Amino acid sequence: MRHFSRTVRIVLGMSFAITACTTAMGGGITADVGLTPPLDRWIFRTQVRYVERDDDPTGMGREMQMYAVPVVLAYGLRPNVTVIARQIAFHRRMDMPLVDAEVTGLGDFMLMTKWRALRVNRRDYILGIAPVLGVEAPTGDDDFGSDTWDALTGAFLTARRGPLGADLNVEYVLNAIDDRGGGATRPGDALTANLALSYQFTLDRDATLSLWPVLELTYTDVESDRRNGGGVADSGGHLLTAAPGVKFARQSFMLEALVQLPVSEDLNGNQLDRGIGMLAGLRYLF
Amino acid sequence: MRRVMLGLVLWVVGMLAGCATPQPKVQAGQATTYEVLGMDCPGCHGGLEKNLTKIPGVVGATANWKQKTVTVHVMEGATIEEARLRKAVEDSNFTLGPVLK
Repeated sequence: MRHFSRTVRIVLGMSFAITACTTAMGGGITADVGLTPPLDRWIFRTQVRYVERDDDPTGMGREMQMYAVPVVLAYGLRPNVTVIARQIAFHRRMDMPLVDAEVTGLGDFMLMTKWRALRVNRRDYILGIAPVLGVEAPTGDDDFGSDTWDALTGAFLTARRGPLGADLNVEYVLNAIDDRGGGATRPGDALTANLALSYQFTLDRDATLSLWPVLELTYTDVESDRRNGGGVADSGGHLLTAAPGVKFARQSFMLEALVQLPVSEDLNGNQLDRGIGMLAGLRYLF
Repeated sequence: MRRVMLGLVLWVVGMLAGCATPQPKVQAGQATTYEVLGMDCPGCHGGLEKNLTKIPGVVGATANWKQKTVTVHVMEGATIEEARLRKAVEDSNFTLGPVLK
């Protein structure tokens, strides 16, 4: 019984962990992604993200609550080159038939660069396109890190016309670039596309205060993990979320919050369904 | 944990209060106001003002994102080439427009 319990814990725990750091914790509040910050300008950004997963397809009543706190520091190294560092801390609570467990730890450290490919400044509109390239080092704890070097590539687009704004963000994460053929579990690659629409209200005469209602649509498609040449059953799938939210800015300081609602999901195997997600964050330019 | 949360809340309140403090405006010498294209948010002014005030002879710069303008204050007797201003504005990822006043 003791051996059975340990096996069940490992299997159930893995099925949680497999998607916990990818589909479950997708980004939110996409803003100005296609614009690079000014030369010698820093951006500090952090968020508290919460997501719950339930509707256990096995009927065992498994549930999971997860918190993630990403801390991001970006620097305008050149007017057209931004360097971005990100570290995420996680806290996960798993409710399982035989055992409940809570784990806290760090995810992998990511370093990314963003280039200004296009920036058009006109009186009636602004357009920016910026490709990104990043690498995620296997520095995270066992429960939250992928244990492999991962590469991230993508392109960001930002368009503004008066108070209307649109941000499009397409990213592809190539997992385990250092172990594509190895015998260990290789996490599946992940494609994420995010479209954020916003409308800016100026709240005071001096225009130091702004409020943006935001609607974000996020599509994530994750390949199944691979092990010994075969796919891992309880991994991969796709997810579409809609997220109404709001941003508030006072000069260089911004607060943001949104609620992520799953619209469509098709997760492979016995993964838990994605529940409601919530996000609150702040951003400071200095 | 409670101390950390309290500290975070105080920091947020402090930042909001700090942002409301009016920035000192240097009025000495000549002041010229330019149109600046590409500013779209209340946080845009900081990087632009920082890059402009790095230019020798510029003693102050005040940007207004809503009016799409920046007023550059130049030291008495100093001459700033417009190319230097243009470069500083472009380093901020904006575009320098014509002189407004």
